[in-house]
Amino acid sequence: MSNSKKDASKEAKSRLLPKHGNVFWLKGFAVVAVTALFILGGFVVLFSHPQGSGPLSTSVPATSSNSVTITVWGSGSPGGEQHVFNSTLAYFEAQYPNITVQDSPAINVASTNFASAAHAGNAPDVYRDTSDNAGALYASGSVLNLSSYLNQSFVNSFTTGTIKDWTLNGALYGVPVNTNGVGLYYNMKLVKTPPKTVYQMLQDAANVTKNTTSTTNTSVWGMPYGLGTNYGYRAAAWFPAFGGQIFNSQEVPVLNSSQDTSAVSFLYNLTYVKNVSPKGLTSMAQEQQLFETNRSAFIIDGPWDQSLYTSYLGSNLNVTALPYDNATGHYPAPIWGSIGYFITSPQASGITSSQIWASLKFIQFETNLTAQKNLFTKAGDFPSLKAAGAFAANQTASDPLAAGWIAQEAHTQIQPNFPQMNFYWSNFHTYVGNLYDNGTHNVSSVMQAFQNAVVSQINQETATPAAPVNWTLYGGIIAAVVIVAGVGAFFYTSRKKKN
Amino acid sequence: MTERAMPIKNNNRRIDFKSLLWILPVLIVLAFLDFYPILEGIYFSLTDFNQFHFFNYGFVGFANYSYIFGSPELRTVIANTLVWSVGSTVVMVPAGFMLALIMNQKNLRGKYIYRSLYLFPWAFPAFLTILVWSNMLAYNGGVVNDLLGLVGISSIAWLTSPTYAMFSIIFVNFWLSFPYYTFVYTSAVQSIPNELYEAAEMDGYGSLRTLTRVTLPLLKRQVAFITIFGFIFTWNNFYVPFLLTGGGPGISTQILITYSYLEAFSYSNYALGAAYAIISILILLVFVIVTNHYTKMMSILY
Amino acid sequence: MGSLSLQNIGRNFGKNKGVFDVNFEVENGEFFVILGPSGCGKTTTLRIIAGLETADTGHMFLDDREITNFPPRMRNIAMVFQNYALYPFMTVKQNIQFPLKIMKMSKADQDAKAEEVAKMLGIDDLMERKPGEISGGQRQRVALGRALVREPALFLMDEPLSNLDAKLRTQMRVELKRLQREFNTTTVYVTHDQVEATTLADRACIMNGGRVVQLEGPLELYNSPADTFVATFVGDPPMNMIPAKVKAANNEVMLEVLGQLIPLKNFTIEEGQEREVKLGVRPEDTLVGDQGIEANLAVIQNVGKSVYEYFKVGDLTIVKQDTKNSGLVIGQNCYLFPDPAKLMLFDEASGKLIYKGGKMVKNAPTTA
Ligand SMILES: Nc1ncnc2c1ncn2[C@@H]1O[C@H](COP(=O)(O)OP(=O)(O)OP(=O)(O)O)[C@@H](O)[C@H]1O
Ligand SMILES: [Mg+2]
Repeated sequence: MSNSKKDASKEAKSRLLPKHGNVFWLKGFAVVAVTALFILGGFVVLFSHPQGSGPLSTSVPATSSNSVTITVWGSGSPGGEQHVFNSTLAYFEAQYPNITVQDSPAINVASTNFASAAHAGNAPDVYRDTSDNAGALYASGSVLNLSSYLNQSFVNSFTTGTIKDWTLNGALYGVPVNTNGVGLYYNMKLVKTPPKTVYQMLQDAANVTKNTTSTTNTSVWGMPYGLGTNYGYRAAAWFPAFGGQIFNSQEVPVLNSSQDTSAVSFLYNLTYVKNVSPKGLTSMAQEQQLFETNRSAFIIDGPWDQSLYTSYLGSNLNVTALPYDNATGHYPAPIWGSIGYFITSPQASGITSSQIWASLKFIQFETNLTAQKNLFTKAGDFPSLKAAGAFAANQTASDPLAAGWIAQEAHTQIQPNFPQMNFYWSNFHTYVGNLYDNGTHNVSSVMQAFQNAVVSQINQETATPAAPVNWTLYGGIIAAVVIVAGVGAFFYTSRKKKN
Repeated sequence: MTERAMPIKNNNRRIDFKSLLWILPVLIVLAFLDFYPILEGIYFSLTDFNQFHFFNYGFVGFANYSYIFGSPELRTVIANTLVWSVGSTVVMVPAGFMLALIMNQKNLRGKYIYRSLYLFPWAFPAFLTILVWSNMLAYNGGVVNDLLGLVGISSIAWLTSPTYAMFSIIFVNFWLSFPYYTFVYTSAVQSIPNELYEAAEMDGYGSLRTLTRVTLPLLKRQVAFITIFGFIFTWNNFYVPFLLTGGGPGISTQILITYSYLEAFSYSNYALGAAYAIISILILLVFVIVTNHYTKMMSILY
Repeated sequence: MGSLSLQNIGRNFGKNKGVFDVNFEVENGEFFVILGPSGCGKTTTLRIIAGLETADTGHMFLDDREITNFPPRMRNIAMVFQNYALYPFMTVKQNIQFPLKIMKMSKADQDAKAEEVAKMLGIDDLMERKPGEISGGQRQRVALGRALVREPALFLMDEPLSNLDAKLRTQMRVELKRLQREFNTTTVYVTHDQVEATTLADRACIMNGGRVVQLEGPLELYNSPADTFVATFVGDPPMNMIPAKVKAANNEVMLEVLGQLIPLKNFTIEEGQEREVKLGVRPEDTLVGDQGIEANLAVIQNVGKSVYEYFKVGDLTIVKQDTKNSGLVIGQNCYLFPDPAKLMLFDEASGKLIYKGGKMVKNAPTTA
């Protein structure tokens, strides 16, 4: 580079930076804006055609002698479940030396991460999640329909409830590994005999409650219940007790029904009418803290927290089924959900037929009798296999807590696993949460708003494009925006110079 | 300060195309880092990309936008976002400024100790601080309510009532952020030559008058820039509302950015989430252009 | 209008830094200059007078009122800062009016006042410009204007001309003197430039290491420096300092310098005694002759109206100043001798002046 050129470039730079100042920035902005809009136009044209779905291979080799690698997300929660997963995996790899399993660290395991991976075509071959999350993913086309791959006798070896939980529109989209839900834990130091009826439960709760407002630390509560915590998971148990449900058989929400309103009113009243629950509970941890320190009689929770409570209450801990409602003649029915393994669709992961074969072998192995027995003994997971269930019942004949769970299992509802269920959770939290202190305190208006929100979101998401895209219209709008932005920027830049 | 170059009147109005060449590499990098995700976001917001149309989504034009503009939540969420951003900015930025002034007084002893102390909360991981605050503000057994109880005030549902939740998250955000603004303002305050204060002092100006007649006019641009920057940052500050109240109770603390997240990831309606994000960006963009027009705050960046 | 008196003023920053035991009086309307090398405590002294720094010891009086502990705004003193301290966001007019804004004065009066001062300073056509849009000399005038509008009892200036180029400095020097005469404001002026001091000052004091070493009219500082420090500090190029010895032998008093003997009149010394001294000769009092100290011409510097010739004598450099060239060429040897009427002698130990103008200085220290 010659000297004069160097100087010229220096000059150009120095002219660019401080002197042009504002003007330059705006010019740059105008140029960038125009380019961006053109690129945007390009993108819109490029992506506007719906992506064709790849042909789905249905021919599965019965065996494969070639080596094959599958990726797996989700080894379960740390501790017992992870331990059992790993030992089962080791045994599996010994049995199938030509299959290599790549287990992903649990940090990636979240259905939002799975969704982004699936959208990019990078999903794992096998994923472990709850039946409702999996149901939504199945509806999105990310999950393989296993109905044609699994024979009827295999399916029949699982309890009807869990299979139903993993079936959507007649398709079995995963294999359940456990089944569980919530029951009523009670502290025998405060309540001697388990309540048989809702009336009795409220009676017990009222007897126990000693609200000494002066110092919160000495108050004892019958039944602390945070209405918005757990995103409507626990509350769902009470709709059946009042004859209600979340979705009707046409998969339309009926949250504004008088039954559902009564159920939420009942839960609301625990705090605001019966005064057996403190106000302002926002997290499960707050309820748990009260229960662990003998400051509450009841807590509605699942078996996954049983060892935690035992460590605090010891032999004073017991569990029973949510009590019969003698006023309505119905039992509460907690959502009896299930975790399972499922295989991703070729579109989501690019899975090959031999990988499908290997994945099937893998999930059958992870859900087999040995694995489930281990999961029951080591992690307290209730089995989904009929045979394993019998084993569990046998094992725990003498255990009073197991008896409580078996009693509860008789009154459960299958977790609705169609994608619309997705709208129930956060909206429950949002709308029913509004009943809190200084909120509306009007249950029926809240339930109506809740219903409206769910319906409107379902309509919004399921709606198909109303009319074919009118390219002249959109092209015109884009062109107009570009012209206005360009002219505006130039007008702005030249006007700027005066001051 | 007194040596500031005078603005040079420039009569050369031609666009210097050669000079565009110099920023071409920057533009290319920007295109990949910035524009690609933004454009993809814009594109998604014009589709029906959600759990029902996960692979087979298509262009739906402005359907998501018209849904949003027809939804009763939008007004609340925008109002919340404004209250949140303005409310946080008007307390944390001036507080940071005042503290910077106090910390930089020339005869203050132990400046360095205070400086380390006030940077401490800022250096502490924010999510832990938020967790601690969420415990302190808890209705039952929270320190704040316990202290109120001691003076005979009954417990307040700081995080769980629509009346107080917004106030609480603004307060926590204030507590979290103002050390940062103190830090930012410190360098601005230190850039003022001492003689300017001394001259005012000799002329009989007291501290308050010196602040309004000397310090503030001198730092006009910086104050404008930091305030606007603070506003934009708060507008997009996701963690405080998300971790403290999760947008609740109801949607009383949902701001555009948390609502966008809710739509995209709780309801798997990615397109709607993207549309909310784009609306948020557009409002901010208009805001920045308008405020820059009046305050010229961007000139600090040249 | 304002007479200032400093009595035993001291401010100790520790590590022997600061100012110590400063005493001087400035009379009403006087232009008083504090002269000294960098770091000697000039600014500190000025800031103590202004009240921006507090004195640890001593007392200060303005018009016989003790102001030692007054806050700055109560002192009625205006200061021109070295870097002018103009407010960049205000126009020239607003800058000049700044001190008036705080006074109870009508807007019209403020305008009139500012206009008057600006006219006097010749900056009335710049009133709407910002400090960033005017030249250094103009800024200097604005800073003066801001100090002048207040009509203070005392004017303090901290090296106000040091940021200007040589030509402008000379010009502003004249201007300043004229303004000071016109306003007749008592002024304390700090500089490290002795030409400024000599041209401006009615009286000047020299500081060194935080202490006042001499307080005199500016010409006296040059003609009879109190000690070697003042002697070498005042004057450019500085006075030649040559180690020497005074000997009294054979009823003759002789100065022995670099092996040469020079007869010395009127020096009080006992017969047979010797005294170590420093010989001080101004460059213009250094003469070339047929005999004397043998020297070698090393450098000739011709600046037009004078010629400086630098000679080497062993390790020493001796400077000679004259209006014309001595006719020697570089490398040539010659003989140098001091003008006997002008030479000065300083005590070797204390550095104090003992002999000057052909006679002993009054109260000169004698050898112990
Ligand atoms: N605030 C202070 N704290 C400690 N030391 C100081 C302070 N201010 C000045 N000094 C020291 O006191 C001495 C005198 O400083 P001063 O500023 O008065 O010098 P000066 O004569 O004005 O020098 P110059 O010609 O360079 O301006 C210096 O050694 C300086 O480092
Ligand atoms: Mg100084």
